[in-house]
Amino acid sequence: MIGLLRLELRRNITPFLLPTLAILLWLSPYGRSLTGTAVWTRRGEALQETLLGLGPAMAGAAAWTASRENRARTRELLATTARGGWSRTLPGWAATALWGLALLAAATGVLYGLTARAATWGGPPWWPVAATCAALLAFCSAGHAIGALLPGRFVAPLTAIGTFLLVVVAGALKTADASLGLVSPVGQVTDPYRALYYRAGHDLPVVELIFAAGVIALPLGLLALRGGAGGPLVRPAGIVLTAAGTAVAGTGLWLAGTGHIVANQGIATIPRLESRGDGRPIAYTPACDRTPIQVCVHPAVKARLGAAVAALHPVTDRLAGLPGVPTTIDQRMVDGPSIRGSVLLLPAPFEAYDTRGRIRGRVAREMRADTAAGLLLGAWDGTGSARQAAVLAVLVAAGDPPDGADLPIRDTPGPAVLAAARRLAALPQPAWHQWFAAHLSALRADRLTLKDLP
Amino acid sequence: MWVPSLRLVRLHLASRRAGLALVAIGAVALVIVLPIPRSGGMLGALVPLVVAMGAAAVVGAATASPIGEVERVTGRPLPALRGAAVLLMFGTAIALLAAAAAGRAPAGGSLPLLRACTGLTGITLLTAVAAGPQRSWTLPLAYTILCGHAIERSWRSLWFWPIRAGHDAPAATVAIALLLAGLLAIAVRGTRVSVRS
Repeated sequence: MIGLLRLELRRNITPFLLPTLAILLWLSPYGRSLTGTAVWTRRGEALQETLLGLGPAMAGAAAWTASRENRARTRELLATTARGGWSRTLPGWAATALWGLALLAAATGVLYGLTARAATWGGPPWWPVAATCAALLAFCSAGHAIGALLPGRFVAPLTAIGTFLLVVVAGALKTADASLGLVSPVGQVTDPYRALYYRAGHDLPVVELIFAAGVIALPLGLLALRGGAGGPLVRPAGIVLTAAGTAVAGTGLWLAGTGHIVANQGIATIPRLESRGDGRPIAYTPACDRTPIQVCVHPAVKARLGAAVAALHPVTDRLAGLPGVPTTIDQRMVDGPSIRGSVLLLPAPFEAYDTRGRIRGRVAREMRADTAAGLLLGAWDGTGSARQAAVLAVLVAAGDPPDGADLPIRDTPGPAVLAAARRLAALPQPAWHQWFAAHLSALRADRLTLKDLP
Repeated sequence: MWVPSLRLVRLHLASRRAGLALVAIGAVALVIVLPIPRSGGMLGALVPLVVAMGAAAVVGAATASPIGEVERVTGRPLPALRGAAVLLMFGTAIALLAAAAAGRAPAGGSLPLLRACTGLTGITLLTAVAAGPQRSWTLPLAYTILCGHAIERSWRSLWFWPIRAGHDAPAATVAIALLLAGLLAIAVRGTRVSVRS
């Protein structure tokens, strides 16, 4: 058997696909995650997303390998050998699976190795790795069975494309909040950054694992039920594998069907697989800088603290020292800004954390606008003209373009608001401080109009 | 000019499993009318592209010759036969996809679907010439996945012509150029014959 496996490993088509798969990996969320901040949860999800390309390719390769007997017209010749059909075909499946697992192991090693060097918080999530490996084996298993049962020239491309379509549809179902799609390892519905702040359960990878285990067993069992599959034990083994595979895959689907997805909040849960404590806040000590208005971030994104501070500096520098303005900005997983004592709780700008180097452009402008509105008003729902003008004035003074496109508050500011903002921004620094010190409370209470602005 | 007899054309098409290929293309085209959600972000937008790629992959796989080198050595001049067979299958694929899209038009209309099928058939044929018909699906599959990532990142470069707007002339030009290149290559050179395969 080992000799046959060695032969299959040598003759397998997968090595031919490896360069293409490696390029695909690099251009997929896997490669993109490497350019962002080293956050374990994010990298774990990126690994699963590799299956969008890897899965169909491996299914196609497995179908190609399994249809070889028919393609080479050696089925009758091989039927006269001592080995049964099942034991003859299993090494082919194992060879494809081993090549796929080898690629996945290398990809995981690189991803997790680089993350281990750069991550500042947490540890490697192994559940996504297990779910990805199981899904890869399932793709190989299904592809192999299709190739063996329906051999022909179209079987490899149609298996690959059919699998791709299935993965795409399952992922689309998942992202469209259909709970049955939760068995698919592709299609992100959970927010990997949420897992930094709230305890995330393993319910999603577990259900993917259960479904994949069923899909691994079912096709292999079906192959053992074919005529000429082997000795007297092969058929019962096939019946057991088919029944177990159907039951396990069905259980996975049933469990997924009981799940809830709130895609826009990045939450997906399967109540029956939830463990106690899932969803509870995780305690951590934030990483903070030492500027007059301190900026604090989650320790997992400590590497982006400097860039966040630099992006916010034009605004924090302008507002530092004003009475009533918070002295600490704590970027957290919150829905909107709120002031608690001297601390402004602000939604963490995850898009900015995903970039590398300086935070610039739209992302930086939005960060500054959110922070300015938060520091001045403690809220983003300010629709009052004076409030809008005050926030815009801070942004204009910080060097941002005088338009309301980046403002987190409702309504687009009109020309009168923009003119007032420009006037306020043009004030000399002492007059600026004096005006804000005198009017900040009234501004927060929305008691000012544009006429009250200088 | 040598004109192949009808019987030769029929035999050539039979050797390419043209009948089975048309059934497979029909099955792929049917996916368009299935009630698949199209609101699932990048993945939802990928469905029509995958269908177009599926039809193209079948056309590519159908270029395989069961007798390989023997056909090249002993056969009559093959370019006309090969070109005609591929054109017939491609034409049927376009007709079937257009009919399916008339039943349930994909987001953005049926033009991007037909354009994608045109260009991807070209890529498939070029891959069949370079790597063999059995592997002709690998490059289009990889390219389609890349287009998925391009959708996700809102890239609109001409490198990702299948995801550009329906009436985009440069994208259509690229697709037609790819098809012509593929047709020319397959007609003149035929697919790569591998002893191992």
